[in-house]
Amino acid sequence: MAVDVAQLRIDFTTGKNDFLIEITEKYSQYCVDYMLKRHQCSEDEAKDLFAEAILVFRDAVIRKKLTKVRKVQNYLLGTCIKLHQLQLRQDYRKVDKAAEIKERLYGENTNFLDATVSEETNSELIRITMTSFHQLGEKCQQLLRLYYVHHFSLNEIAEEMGFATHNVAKTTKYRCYQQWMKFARELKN
Amino acid sequence: MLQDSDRILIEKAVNDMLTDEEHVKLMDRMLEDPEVKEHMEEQTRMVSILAKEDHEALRNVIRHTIDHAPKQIGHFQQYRTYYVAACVAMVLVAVTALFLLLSASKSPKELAIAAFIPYPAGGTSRSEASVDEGLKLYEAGNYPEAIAQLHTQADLKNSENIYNLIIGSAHFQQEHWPMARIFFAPGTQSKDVIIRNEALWLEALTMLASENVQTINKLRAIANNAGPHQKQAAKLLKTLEDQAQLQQFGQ
Repeated sequence: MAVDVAQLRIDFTTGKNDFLIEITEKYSQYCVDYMLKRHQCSEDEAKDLFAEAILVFRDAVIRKKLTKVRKVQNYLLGTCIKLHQLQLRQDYRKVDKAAEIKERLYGENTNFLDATVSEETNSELIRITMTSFHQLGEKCQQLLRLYYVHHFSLNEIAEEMGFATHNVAKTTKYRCYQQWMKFARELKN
Repeated sequence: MLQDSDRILIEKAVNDMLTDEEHVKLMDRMLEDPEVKEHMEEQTRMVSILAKEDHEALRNVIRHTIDHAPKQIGHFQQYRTYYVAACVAMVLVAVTALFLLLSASKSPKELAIAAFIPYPAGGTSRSEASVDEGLKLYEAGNYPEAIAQLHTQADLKNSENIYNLIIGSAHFQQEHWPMARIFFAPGTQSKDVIIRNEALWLEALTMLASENVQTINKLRAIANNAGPHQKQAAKLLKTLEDQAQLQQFGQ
């Protein structure tokens, strides 16, 4: 399967994940069977590993860690094995932008620690967050996704999206964010 | 009560755009008004949700796709019937070829041995103990011992002597072709038609086994005259002809 990584990168950064579904349909059975037979995983664990390998693949393409791929199947299987052996999953899940914001804002001041949020409130917030986000224009979605989801720096965003400087990227991000919050407020009211 | 200025401060905070002065102001406002703190927390959670939901949503889609992916049938499974049929056909072809090869490659000696039936020991009169012992050994297939016991009964000048045929048969079994032919030869002149027919047949087989050039003439003579071995002789000739072995015998 010939893969145009540059095109994939554009697709992934704009939230188009069709290719990921396609390779899941094609290679999941092979990788899951392999992990079951050779690495004594449970079926559920093997499927989780494959799902995680897909996320790693997407991340590697977005972060330009992967610029060429000869066989996607081999890459995915190799990643499944690595994830299983080195338990990269935990490391991969550690990154959290919200924690960075809190750290920056509150420092060690424990007066501002999270209050417990009810399940219902949380579900409602998830709905508002995602709905309002998808009301944004494509460029804003891409910019915010690059920053909050894929943890690009502002310099990287400027380069990626063709802004003159990182300050332009920062201002644009702020405006996009304000727009997002405006939509969220409208949904809330 | 949340004011527009609070909202701006919160949005700036999330986007790392606060000045030191604004930072202090926001912290003060959060202490003064729980609603400001609540909004700050909410926006932080929204950022967290966006990242997590993106991963979780994709992970869920991938898991759903894995669970519902059509079972990919392996190449072998897909064409299993064809593979099995092809294997069976190949085995049949191989067996047939082997059979044809084996049947086609039968040498004159093998043909002669296949057609040979030892002269029966039953019709002899047993006068001496050594002869009885010799015949028993012959029937048991111990040909060297049988010959040793029976040689005194042989008489190459007597064409009616059936011990000649028995001893000849014992030599035949040991593939002593010249000796076998010597013992079969007297019988071919016998006036007893039974002895003569057997002797002629056994002599012809011995000649075939030793690839004697006169074999074909001998076999034709038997095949052309009514007798107990007429059909066998004709069949042997046909086989030799089919196998293009007649040339070997100067034909």
